[in-house]
Amino acid sequence: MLQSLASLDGHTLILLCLSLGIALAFEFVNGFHDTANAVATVIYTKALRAGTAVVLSGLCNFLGVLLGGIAVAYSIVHLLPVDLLVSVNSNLGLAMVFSLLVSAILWNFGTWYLGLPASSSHTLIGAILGVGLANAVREGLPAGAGVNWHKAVEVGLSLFISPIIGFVLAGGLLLALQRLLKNPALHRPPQGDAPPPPAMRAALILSGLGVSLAHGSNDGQKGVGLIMLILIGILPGVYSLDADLPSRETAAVRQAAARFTDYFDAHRLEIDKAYAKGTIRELPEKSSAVNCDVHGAVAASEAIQHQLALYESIAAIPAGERWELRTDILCLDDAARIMQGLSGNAAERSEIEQLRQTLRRPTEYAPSWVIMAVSLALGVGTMVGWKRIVVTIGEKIGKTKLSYAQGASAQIVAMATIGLADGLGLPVSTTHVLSSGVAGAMAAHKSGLQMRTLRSIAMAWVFTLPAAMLLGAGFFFLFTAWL
Amino acid sequence: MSQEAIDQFLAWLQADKDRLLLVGGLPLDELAAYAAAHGFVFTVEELKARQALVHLVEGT
Repeated sequence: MLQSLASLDGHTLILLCLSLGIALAFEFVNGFHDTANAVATVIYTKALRAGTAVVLSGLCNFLGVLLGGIAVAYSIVHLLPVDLLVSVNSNLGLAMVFSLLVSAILWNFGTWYLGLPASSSHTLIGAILGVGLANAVREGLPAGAGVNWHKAVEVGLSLFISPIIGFVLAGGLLLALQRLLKNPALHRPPQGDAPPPPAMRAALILSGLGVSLAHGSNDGQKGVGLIMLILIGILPGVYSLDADLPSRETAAVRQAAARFTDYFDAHRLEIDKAYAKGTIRELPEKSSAVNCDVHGAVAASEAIQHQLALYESIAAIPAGERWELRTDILCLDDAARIMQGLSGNAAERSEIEQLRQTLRRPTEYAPSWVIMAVSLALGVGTMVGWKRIVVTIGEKIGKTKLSYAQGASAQIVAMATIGLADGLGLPVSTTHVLSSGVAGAMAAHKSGLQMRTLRSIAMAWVFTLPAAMLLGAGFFFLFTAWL
Repeated sequence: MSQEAIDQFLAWLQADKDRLLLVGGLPLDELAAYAAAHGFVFTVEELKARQALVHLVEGT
């Protein structure tokens, strides 16, 4: 890496440092934005002392990023259509990266400063959608081509459904706890300076740490995805493909490409029919992006096999040729995705999915130093966040109460919901999941429906998402004119 | 007494608008000291925990 840095000119080096700094700042801000949610219950219930809770939460966020994998990171990256992803090493790509970063950090920091409810997930996703749509307008493409809508719907559903799951399950868990645990002390807010009963205390601490771990995993990966876009854009020769991919897996990529050649050859007639019927649409010729379409799949597949036959490993491929291989892999994967959608056979769709995963393996990775840097930014941000809590003396603060059982129910459900989303590679708003869990536990306890929670979640959809889209699109137009 | 003391302190503040205005701009440690001087004993961390709970409940 140091060797590649030394070969950069001053301007690019500044651009790289600036963009990495902004991406890490996004994670840091995310950390201190969410500290209150992560530790509120354990500190309020006196399950842990504030200092201990904040340090442990920071450590769990750190570990969550380290252990969380990268499926969520690439779910975010693939919101952008493949045409934009394969042009990321151009000025257009740099404009895309900077638009995303600047809009996300401006909105995240601005809403925190003004005390407005916001969701970093909605912010980031809104900025990505805005950039994708702005690029489509700029290229004269239909709006449908600007975003990977298949992925956008998947991510949108995940963001929409996860708070509902949190609300219903936390309410259900509280009702179950009320039937199973008859000790009335567990269903009252904390009194005096005594900690919760030992078993409840353990449940509160473990679920609280679990929420921090899951938060680190899901939110940290958003930063990992952003940093990978930056690195691929600025140092494509080094980061466009995973140079550490074992030879065995490289051979599997070559085999997957060969299987796709056979598949596309065997389905030539169906492809022609799909084009004729308009099921697969030809996109207009573009000026700046690479054209990826189903017609070009066999050529891309053969190019991949040819490249991988020449070299034993990705590391052996000269830096200048790695970009072309990445482009071919992403183009073939996109064509395979379209064919996967056309196939009426479930077994065939599943087989294509497995082959696509193998094929994408060299393009979906994150170096350990990236994961470590994001872990540190999020972990330190979480620890700093507690110090930055501003107390506003008023009516609301005096009315807010939470019983041990309500806190534990909300945390256990949030931990499980966010963990499940991690496993499925889907981003969720950790704040929304946890808050809706608290709202569900309060509603089940007949403490009333928290309209403020509903309002905050609604604000993220009707306010943050469109605002981030507009910011992302605006900065994209600005930067493409400037760069 | 902690959380109960915070409840009582807030009720006491809300009973007199001048008192509420007086504490509005106080740093947290001074606010806790002011409360303690009037018989409401809680720590800065306990007050912050209550505010964190407001954030959690409100989804902010």
